[in-house]
Parts: sequence; C-alpha cells; structure tokens
Amino acid sequence: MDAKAREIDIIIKKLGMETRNSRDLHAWLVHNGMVVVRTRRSHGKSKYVPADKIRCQLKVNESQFAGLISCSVEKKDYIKILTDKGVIAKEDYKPEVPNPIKKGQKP
Amino acid sequence: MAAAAPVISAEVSAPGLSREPVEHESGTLPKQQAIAPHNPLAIPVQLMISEVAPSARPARLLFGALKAPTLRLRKPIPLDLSIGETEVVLTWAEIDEFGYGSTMGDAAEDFSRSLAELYCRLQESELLGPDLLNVKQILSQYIETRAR
Repeated sequence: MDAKAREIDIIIKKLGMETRNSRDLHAWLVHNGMVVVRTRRSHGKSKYVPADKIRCQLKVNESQFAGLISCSVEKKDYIKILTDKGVIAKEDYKPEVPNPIKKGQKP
Repeated sequence: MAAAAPVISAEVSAPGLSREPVEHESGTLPKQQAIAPHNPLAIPVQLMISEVAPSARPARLLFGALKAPTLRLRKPIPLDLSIGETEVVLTWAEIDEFGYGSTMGDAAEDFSRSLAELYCRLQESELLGPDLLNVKQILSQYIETRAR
C-alpha cells in the first residue's frame, strides 16, 4: 500500500496539522492545545512514500486511511476515531460544533 | 656389481586403437553409493532451497548511530528492516517511527534525522496527548540531551 506524497499532503491539509519544513515535512495535529498525533514525509525526489508507516502514525486502519485521502473521513470523524482509540483523552474530546447562522448574517 | 631392476609384468598390445571393456553395456556410470559418515562429530544439515534468493540484509538490527550533536543514545534501538517497492524501510515499531532510503545507510540516516526531530519537538511540547506522552517516555529511555 503506497500512497503518493500529494495524498499525504491532502490529509495534512484536511486535518489542519501544524507543519514544519526542514529536510522533511513534519506535521503535528494539535487538538484543544494538545499535540496528539504526528507524521512526516520526505521532500526527496523519490516517489516512494511508506503509506503504511504513515497510517500507523496517524493511528487509523486501512479503510479509515483511504477515507482520509478521499472525502469520507473528515476532521471531526478523525477526532472521534482518535478519541475512541484513547489517543485523545475522552475529557479532551470536544466535537466541533458549527456556528449557528443568525438571521441576516451571511453564511 | 649393480643389482638388476625388477621386471614389472607388461603386455604388448596390438598396434592401432582398441576399446577398453565397459562394465555396463548401457554406457552410463554406475549409481553412486552414499558413504555413511564415520565421523562422530559430523552434524547432519538440512538444506532448504528457496525460490527467493536470500538477502544479505538482516531482518532486525540495533541502531546506534544517532547523528545529532546535541543528543546521545543511552542504548541501541531495535529496528525492523523491510524492503518496500524500491526502498529500504527501517521501523521502530514501539513508537511507530520509521526511516527510509534507497540503501540501508540512507534509511538509517533518514531515521536518525526523524528521530532527532521527534525528540526535540516532544521536549518542547508541554501538552501532549496520551500516545505522544508514552512516545516521549520511551524516547527518554533511549535518548538524552548531551551536557554542554
């Protein structure tokens, strides 16, 4: 199971992970001020990306990982997955609630 | 008086080519007989013939080459080695950290860089989730900051 670097970038962007560019691209998921998950990918010219290792770092199974690359697993779903797995402590789990749109306010 | 040389029995063959008598008429060599080892120290060995050529790379290795001047390894890190499509991948399964490259040396260097980055980032962070807190604790068993 090998993904492309672009697909890893999609996940990083979708989850709003903090990134640091050094020789590699390091990404950290911060939830409620707490660093909960990290991953990274190389900037190298090599097309190879060890997707299975990145999947393990993100603490998801193969179908969840595929869902992160596609549209089926969103950030709120991912936070729920991490909470269920104990990667995020239950007391820290605050589901993101969309702001209610007031009358006259543009969405 | 010199002694006469001993006479060895000899036979004068007829001129031209002649065939030696063949033991087996079919012309094949007789079946070879296994010689039972008489050496009491001989150890029987079973050879497994595999279709895949054996690799000179080990499946597991101990990593001890952390290339970070500010950090020091307390003890070697056990890594699993696997071969991807084109790359060598080194994995520290305990904390899900990895390094990869076209050679084992490249993979080790990649792992070293990644590990140093992870260690430093976790040292900087005060608020860590349960999983990364565990990673930090494991790392502290293996790595320490060098005293200046």
